[in-house]
Amino acid sequence: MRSISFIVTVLILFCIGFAWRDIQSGRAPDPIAFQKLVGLRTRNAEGPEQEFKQAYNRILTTYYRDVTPQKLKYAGISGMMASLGDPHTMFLEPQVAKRFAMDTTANYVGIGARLAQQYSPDGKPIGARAVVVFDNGPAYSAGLRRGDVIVAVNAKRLGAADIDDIVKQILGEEGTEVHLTVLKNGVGAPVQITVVRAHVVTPTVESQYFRDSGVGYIYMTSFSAPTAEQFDKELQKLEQYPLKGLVIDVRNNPGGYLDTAVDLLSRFRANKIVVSMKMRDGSVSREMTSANEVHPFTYPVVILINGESASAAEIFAGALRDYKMATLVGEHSYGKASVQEVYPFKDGSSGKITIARYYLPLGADISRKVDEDGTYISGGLEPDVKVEYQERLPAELTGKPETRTSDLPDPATDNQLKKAIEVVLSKAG
Amino acid sequence: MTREGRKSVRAAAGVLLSIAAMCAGALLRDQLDLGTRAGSDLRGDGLLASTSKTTDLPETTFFEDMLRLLEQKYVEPISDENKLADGAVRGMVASLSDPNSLFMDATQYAVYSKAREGKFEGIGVHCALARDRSRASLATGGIDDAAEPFSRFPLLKVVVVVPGSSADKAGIQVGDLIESVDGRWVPNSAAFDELDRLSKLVKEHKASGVEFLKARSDLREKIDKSVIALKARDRLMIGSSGPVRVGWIHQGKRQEKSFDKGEWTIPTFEVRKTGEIRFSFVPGVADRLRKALLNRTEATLDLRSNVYGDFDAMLACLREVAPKGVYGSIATHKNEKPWPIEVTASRATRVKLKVLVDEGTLGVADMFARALASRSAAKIMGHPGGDPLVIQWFRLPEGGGYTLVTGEYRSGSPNGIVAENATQRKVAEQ
Repeated sequence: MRSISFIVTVLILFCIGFAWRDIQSGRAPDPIAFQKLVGLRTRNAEGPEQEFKQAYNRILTTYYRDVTPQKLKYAGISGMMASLGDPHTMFLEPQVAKRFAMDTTANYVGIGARLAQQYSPDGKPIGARAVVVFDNGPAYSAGLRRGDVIVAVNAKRLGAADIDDIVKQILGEEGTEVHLTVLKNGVGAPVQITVVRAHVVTPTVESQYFRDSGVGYIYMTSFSAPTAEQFDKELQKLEQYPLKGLVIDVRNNPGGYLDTAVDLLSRFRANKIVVSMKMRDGSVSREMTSANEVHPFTYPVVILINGESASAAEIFAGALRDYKMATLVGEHSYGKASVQEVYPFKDGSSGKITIARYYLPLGADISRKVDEDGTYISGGLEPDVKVEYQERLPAELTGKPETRTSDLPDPATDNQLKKAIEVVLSKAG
Repeated sequence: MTREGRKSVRAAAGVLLSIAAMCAGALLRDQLDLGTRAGSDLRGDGLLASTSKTTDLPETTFFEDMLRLLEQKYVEPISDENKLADGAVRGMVASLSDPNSLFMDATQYAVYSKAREGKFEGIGVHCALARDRSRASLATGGIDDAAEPFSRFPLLKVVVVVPGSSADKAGIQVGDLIESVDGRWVPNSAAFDELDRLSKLVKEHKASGVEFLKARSDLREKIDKSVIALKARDRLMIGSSGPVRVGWIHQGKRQEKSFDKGEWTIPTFEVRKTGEIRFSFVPGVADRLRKALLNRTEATLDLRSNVYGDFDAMLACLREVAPKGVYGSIATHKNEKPWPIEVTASRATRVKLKVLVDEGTLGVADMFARALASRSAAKIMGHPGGDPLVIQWFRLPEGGGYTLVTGEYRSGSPNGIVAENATQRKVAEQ
């Protein structure tokens, strides 16, 4: 009896030793390794790992041009993730991962301004124009304003530099200085401005009150961590005016956190299903709006969507329609009916992996269907009022420098926004 | 020994055995996961800690770690690890952005392998991805579909037309460009250049904004209904029945027609009635070439539309026709010295050679022509394709495979690039 229990103990210890690599890295013991151990799997010699390693080494050592091992590794991982056929499961290289994290948290180290390429009247790039300067950011306190044009960074003239390159020059470590040479409002003698880079919360919500129609307008660029709070603030600003209706614009809004969508929807209805998520094990989990955050909306709401409205933006728009609290205007949305989680790695890269599929409150599956060439077949939210966007000439081709200091859409030139205002007014009766 | 003593020895042995069992388990696992190179510095955390560029394993355990992560988290169960491995290889090959280093799935591999032996499916053409040299910014661009489908555009150029095939009967010729397949546009940079040109005109007030907007929305519509060059090529070259509608550009003129797919053959060795010798560089072809050249004082080798070839077969052929000497070199991986193409024991009788080349003379065939030209050992008629590369084929366990460029021809002259240009000019002028 004792010897049996001793053998069992030894066996258990053997298994613990065998699974030590998994335990050490905080994973569940790997069943495949056990299968290999007892001979159920023997194809290790030419298994998928071997296939990958062989190709990796072969390309590094025999391809006739120089290949960076890191670039090759990242390409391999990207290709592997792409082979699942899910466009939202992807590998993010360190730079992309950083950018992605910056967008979802809406928090980064910088000067606190959104810049656009500025062109001379004959269409040549001459620097960067500040289209938004964040109210509480370091650039604002240093004196930079909307419409100012940056022509040099740290005394280096920008000339034909591309906007991404300019941004790269301006970004840097927290607490360090960057010297900008600025044309106030794009004209006059250059002025020197010194900005101390600091943590900045990006405004993801902007608003405007249209006096002529009495309609409030909220423009949301993403569903980031601070979005719900920023929404409240902008809504408060708008409600100082007599509102006949509200247009919430989520066009080109790629989404963000599901939690943020839930928070925002909690302003509209309490204790309502936002989405049902079907997980990999078949279980269903529901996201609900909270009990007591409802804001009284005493006016009709229209949501503007287009083909680039995705993910949390679609959940927000779709759920509000299901609650019968909003009318959707614009073009069909992207159709991303899945939830991803981001797994960061030590080298700064991340894996973004689809972990669940979701359904809207009334059960709709809006997942995008494409043919084998990637052409859209169906999916996304269909708008209640369909309006195609009327293209406008890009600013650099109009022959006159951009004079508008706001980068918000303008109902005078944006036909979809114009239609949204008409619809919301008709609902106001 | 006392009873107590025996007991404590047994207890100690038990403890030792237990520890030994645990260590044995850990070692065995290392052995299983890491093969023979097991060691404490190679724990399976490549994904988390991989910064090393010097050793292989930390880089490659990345794959296993990501695989495990996907198996644990991805919304669908992962049933086929080999598909993921193929995907990884596809991604790595694609990252080379090289029109001659391409991944193939099982179907593609089977079809294109047969084409190497002269057995073609589809409409009876072979198309190559050619860099579009009209746009400097795209010169370094590649062709893969995975990442940025419309940021770079290779041309899809016809380099082989099988005599007697559907394509041949319809008048498709080597050098023609494929423009659409089944109504889907194969994007090319010219269309984008045209839009750029128009935007310049608008800036100079020589065209209206309305015109520009119309052109832009037309282009977007075309992009929405497009097919990438590699897929378009498959649709022309894979399958032996059924119709396919093809738009192509022949000497600047657009044509469109429906074709029947079939099976077509180009013999790997052929002596034409006119005396020209046409052959592919397949293993064993050198012997046939020697026999065909016996008792001749002059011969014409037809290397037009000669896409695929085996490097060793090409060398063997060179020995048959070229006098002793060095015929340039092959530059391979940067760590290795270029090695000379040398004919030491030439069997060459003094046959006066003419070599016919065209835009479809690619790879080792191109190399063969250039090698001969470098020592004026043959008269070259026509302009070769311009990519004298060694392209190797590799097969993957699941039936797919890939090609990899492993060498590039350099002319042997000490004047280097200048001489290379001179050679090219020579090839072109003759």
